[in-house]
Amino acid sequence: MHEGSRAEATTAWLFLAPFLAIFLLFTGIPAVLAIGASLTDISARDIRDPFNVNFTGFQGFIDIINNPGFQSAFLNTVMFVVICVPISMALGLALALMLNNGIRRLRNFFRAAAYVPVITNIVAAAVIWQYAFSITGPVNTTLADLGLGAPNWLGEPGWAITTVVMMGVWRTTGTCMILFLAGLQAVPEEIYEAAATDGAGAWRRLWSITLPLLRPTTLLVTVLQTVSFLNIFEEPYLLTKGGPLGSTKSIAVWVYEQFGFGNVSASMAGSVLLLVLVGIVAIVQFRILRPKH
Amino acid sequence: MHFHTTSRRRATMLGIALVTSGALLLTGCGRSGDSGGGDAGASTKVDDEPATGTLEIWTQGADGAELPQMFEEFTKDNPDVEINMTQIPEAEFASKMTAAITAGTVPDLIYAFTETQSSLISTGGFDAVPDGLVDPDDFFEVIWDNSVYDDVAYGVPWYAYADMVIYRTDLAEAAGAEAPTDWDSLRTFGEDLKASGVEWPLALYAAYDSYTARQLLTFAKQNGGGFISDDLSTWTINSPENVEALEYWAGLMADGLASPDGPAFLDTVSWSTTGKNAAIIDGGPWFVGWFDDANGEGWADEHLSLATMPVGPDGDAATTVGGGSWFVPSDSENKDAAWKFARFMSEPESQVKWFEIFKNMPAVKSAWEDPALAGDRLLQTVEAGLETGVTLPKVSTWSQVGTVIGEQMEKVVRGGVSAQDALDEAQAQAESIGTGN
Repeated sequence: MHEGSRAEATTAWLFLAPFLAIFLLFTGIPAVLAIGASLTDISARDIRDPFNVNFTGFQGFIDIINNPGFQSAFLNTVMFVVICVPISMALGLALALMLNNGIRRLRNFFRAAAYVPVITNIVAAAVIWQYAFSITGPVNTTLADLGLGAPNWLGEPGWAITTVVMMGVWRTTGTCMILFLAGLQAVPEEIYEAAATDGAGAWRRLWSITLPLLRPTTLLVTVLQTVSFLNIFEEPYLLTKGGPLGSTKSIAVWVYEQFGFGNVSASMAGSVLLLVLVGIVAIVQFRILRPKH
Repeated sequence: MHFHTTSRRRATMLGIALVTSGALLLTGCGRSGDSGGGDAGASTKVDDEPATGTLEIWTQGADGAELPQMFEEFTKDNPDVEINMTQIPEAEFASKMTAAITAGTVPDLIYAFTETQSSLISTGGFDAVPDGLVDPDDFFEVIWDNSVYDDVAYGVPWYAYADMVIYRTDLAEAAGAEAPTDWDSLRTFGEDLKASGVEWPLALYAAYDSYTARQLLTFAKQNGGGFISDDLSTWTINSPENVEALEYWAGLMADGLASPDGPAFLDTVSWSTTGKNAAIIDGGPWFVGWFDDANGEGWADEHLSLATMPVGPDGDAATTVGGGSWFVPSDSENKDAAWKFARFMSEPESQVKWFEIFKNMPAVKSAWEDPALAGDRLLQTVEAGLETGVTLPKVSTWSQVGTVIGEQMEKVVRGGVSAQDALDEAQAQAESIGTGN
């Protein structure tokens, strides 16, 4: 190793040290303790005396995998990922393309408008959504005025899922848009000019230049969105408490509920499984979508 | 390449070591036996000197918003105490408290509603009520007993209530409907009001959680049923009496006499004020004060009347009894001030004051004789309720089992599942959860 690179490495570690310390303290150690707790039968009443529990190995994991409530939460979570990730990414990309190419004069306005849901306090937003989509709320009043039906948005499983999906997409599309916009602005203008000179139309340029060059951004957005929706908690918890009939209960909501019941071990096992799931999905996505040089 | 392999192996080894040490830390030795709670309280004495220092109180529910008025009363005689109050949403309270006990970052004093007391006490994170702090005989037995676990009292009761039927007299009169007294007349009452144009005559709790389960328990008791055996060892959720009660309850929704979508707890006043509902079944006494707050003083007197809960087919009376009690976490840094405040809140004068503020009934029997309460029309119905009060299954897993029952009740009203199948499923799940005792 060269002298110079060693100095660079030292500098790098020095800059990384504060992050690593915080990461270790607030993420690393709790994760290890959670894994440890998931291998025991610890419950709320033992939590002040951690030596008063039994080692149960993977029994806790086997139990929750066989638990119908967890299975249902798992399927709901997968459903949210499968529905929300493509929709929010497609909308984010469309908005980014629009802002990058079309309405340049109003770019700042639209960029802010699309990003507002990302920075809006989720609890305040959920209260407004809950009110808006209640049976007699403004959404149904408007639909009734238009002569359309008034669905029971939060009371029927299918509509409740739809509402949670809409809120999830509403909240994350802005993030996708900003990331795609950054990616689009990194594409050199000359490539488009050259392609235009060769007679490539707008669709051709999008298909053959923009999308391939956005591949790293797409990878990043896909992974971030997937991880975000695997961990989905606020939308189902605040809008529907996981109901009706458990139709919107995600793994994170299930984990939270179990902790509230004092089932600390099951709660920890659920969160560890979620962590493993997030890790596996992220690795697979990186493998599949990694740019090929 | 070699570097990567070594580093990966090293990372793996480090991970295994950390996990193993974490697990070992948590599993040093086996469970030594169930511990009911914190100190037994026998050696703790709370004197009559004024409280001092800072007192951290966590509140929940609507009670918390009004509590500062009682702080003012307390600090008159305890000028050197500073009270800091943190309001926590009711739905988050149990989780936050469990997390706080885990981390040792507890407040000095909390109150818990009857629904969550068993599970909180079972965390072992609370001290027993010190000997001589209060006299158990001063309180209604049903409320005092709710925070007794393995013969040790952990909570000082603050207030007690019994639910009742609160109905709109003007709407009932217009519909020619008589106040309900039993299951049959409750249904007729609803049908008459429906016929007169009230959208949802009856307001039932339909949040499908342990509170909905509590409501079913009331109907079940009116029908001679119940959720758990007398010795608290066996769940009896799918008994024929309970199934019948659930069929009756769900039938009211199936026939459009009550909405499965509400009112949610905080919508109750607006739904009844606007005439969307005509009667709150299982309504707490505080609602009356809320109607006046929302519509102006005197509105409740003009528009509302009260009746005891209807009796079941065989004339069995039962109503939901609840309340709040004060608890001191074992890691509290100012237990002395905490217990003194709890004691102050159980004094008859404070109990009467709280009734005037929030319309919650005193948990101390002697406070009911105060002239301030004597002429109150709420008391007649509540008093009857306290005599026929239903206590929740006093086991640490009640919150979880209650939620399971609530979820199954939702399947009956929304999912087309029969009452028998739903309660069979609830029974099976409850058996696998156990009683926690």
